[in-house]
Amino acid sequence: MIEARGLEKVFKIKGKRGSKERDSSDPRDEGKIFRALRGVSFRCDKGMVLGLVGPNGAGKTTTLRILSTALTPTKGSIIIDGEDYSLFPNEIRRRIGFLSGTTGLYPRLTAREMVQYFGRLHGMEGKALNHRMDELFERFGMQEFVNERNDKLSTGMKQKVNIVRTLIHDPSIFIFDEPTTGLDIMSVTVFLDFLTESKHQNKTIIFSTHSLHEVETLCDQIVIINRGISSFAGTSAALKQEMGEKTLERAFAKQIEQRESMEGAA
Amino acid sequence: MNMIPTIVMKELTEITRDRKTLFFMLALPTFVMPLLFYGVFTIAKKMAVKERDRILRVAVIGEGDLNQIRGLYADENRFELLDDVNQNAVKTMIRNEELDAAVVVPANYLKQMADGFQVEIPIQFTGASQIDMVFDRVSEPLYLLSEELSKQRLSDLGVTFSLKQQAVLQPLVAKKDSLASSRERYGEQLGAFLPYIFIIFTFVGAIYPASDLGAGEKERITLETLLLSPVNRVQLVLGKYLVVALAGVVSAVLSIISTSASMVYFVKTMEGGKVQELAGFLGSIDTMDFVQIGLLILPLAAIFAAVLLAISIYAKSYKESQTYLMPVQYIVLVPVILSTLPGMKLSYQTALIPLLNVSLASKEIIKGTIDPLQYVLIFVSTLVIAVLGIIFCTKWFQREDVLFRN
Repeated sequence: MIEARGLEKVFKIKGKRGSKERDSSDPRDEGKIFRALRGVSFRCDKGMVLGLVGPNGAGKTTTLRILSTALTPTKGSIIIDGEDYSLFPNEIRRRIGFLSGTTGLYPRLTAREMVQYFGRLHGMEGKALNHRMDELFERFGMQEFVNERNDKLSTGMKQKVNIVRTLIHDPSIFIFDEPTTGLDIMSVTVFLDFLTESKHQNKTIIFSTHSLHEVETLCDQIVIINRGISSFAGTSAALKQEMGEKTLERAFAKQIEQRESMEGAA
Repeated sequence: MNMIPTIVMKELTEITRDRKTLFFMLALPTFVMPLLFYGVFTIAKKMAVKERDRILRVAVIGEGDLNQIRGLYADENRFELLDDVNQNAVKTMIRNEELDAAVVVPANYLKQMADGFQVEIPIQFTGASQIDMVFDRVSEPLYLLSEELSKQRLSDLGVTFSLKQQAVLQPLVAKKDSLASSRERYGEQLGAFLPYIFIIFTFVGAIYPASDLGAGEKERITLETLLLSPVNRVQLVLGKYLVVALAGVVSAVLSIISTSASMVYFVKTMEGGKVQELAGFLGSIDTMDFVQIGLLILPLAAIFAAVLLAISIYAKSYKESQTYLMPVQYIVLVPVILSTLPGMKLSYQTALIPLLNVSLASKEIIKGTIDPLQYVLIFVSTLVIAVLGIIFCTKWFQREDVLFRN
């Protein structure tokens, strides 16, 4: 189980960097600081898939980076399996598997060396590690290319290496940041099959995506993040009903517009 | 759990598969000095021989009787004496390389000689080239004639015995009696040159691995995954740091071996009076001296690895890292240049200044005059700086604004 409670994250803005790209109407932009998250809360239980959705720059990646321990929240807390994760970051890292669509591989290592490296970093070694690797390579049909260098692999093969790298230490929580963005159809299929399988294995899964089709197909819960605030948490059916729309796309767009106009009025 | 060996092995596997790193870490330090020595020595030797053996085109000009001077350049194997050269065209001819030199005989030359005066005979030539032998070769016959005339004049004055003639010409002679051994004298020069080589190569060898291990992780988007592993950040930094330092050490050791081997080889193939002395000097540097110089690479590599890795961790990309490292390359040379200044010596104060201390110590080791305490002080001061560098890198490896700059 993973629970985010009132997450806030403030970034200091140095100089004029990024000022051109910044949206002046964004209430989070306070000149020298940027409030990327202003209150994000949700809960994801075991065997559940939670989809984080929201416009570009809403705060999805920041939220996932905080959940994965890469960033520290300015305020708020994260409870994993009943424990505050800030107290045991390394222990929590052993339970988390993180993957994004842009996560790279070490180009000059072979697929086997790459997975082995991360296995060792997670404290695995010897026969146990080799057995786990062979098991995963077989499961994902990777035997033919595990000894190839990563820079020689196709996008789909790379995605498989990344998935196995995420799985090597058998994490109980998966965090995926736009895992299918930029992938070809074969790679997306590989990933979605893996996600479905993980769900059946009672894993806790949180992922951000722009594909509402993926959300509707896979997610038990959705959380809408807009301008650093979690503005909705519930099922896709509940969102459609609340917004009075038949499709998830329209319901999503309406929810965003409503929230922005409410904030503008305030 | 100690993950440093795992990180070191992984990083070593990666950098030894990178052609660029292999080139700068292994190939360049191994082959650049032999090639440089071979190129410079061979070309210089060939040009010197060519310049020494070629027939010089000489014109003897003036208004008086030129026959005596013209007679000096009658050897056809060495000179081609040009006749009827227009005195006003001489300068243009020399600049156009139609003529190598013009010997300008003064109008009253014979009379002044007969009266026992000293006569100045200008030799016109370009003299722009470094290996120009024209003046030496053209003035040599005049010098020989001058010696002959000098003896004649002394004989006319009644000084006939050759030792007495020398005593008349030069009653006092200041004789050099340096207490420095040939090792100390050559050591001062070679010792100033050697740090250029191994300091540069320690740096060059470490540059690419440093960029690859820090900024390269960001560029390949592998850093985030690495940071999410349950490994202490200090261990992550130390693992990378050791690999960068090792790359610098390997590069520098290879550069010292190849430079020393090249020098020995070329001294053996050289000709001339000083060769024996130079060979003796090289022979006096023993294995222990090389070990002492070799050990100096460790403090160098320790500092370079910390600086380069810190820059690389800060940079957003490999390219940005290379851009930041460019000016550092020049800064590195400043202490080496300072070490060659007159009066700059290894002392308890200079032993505390990074890079300068290594440069000065290398000179003292080659000269055979190193103070063991100062030598040890270099390692102590460097260790402190290296530890501070590692702490700095570790701090940066924990700062979100550095890790997620992009």
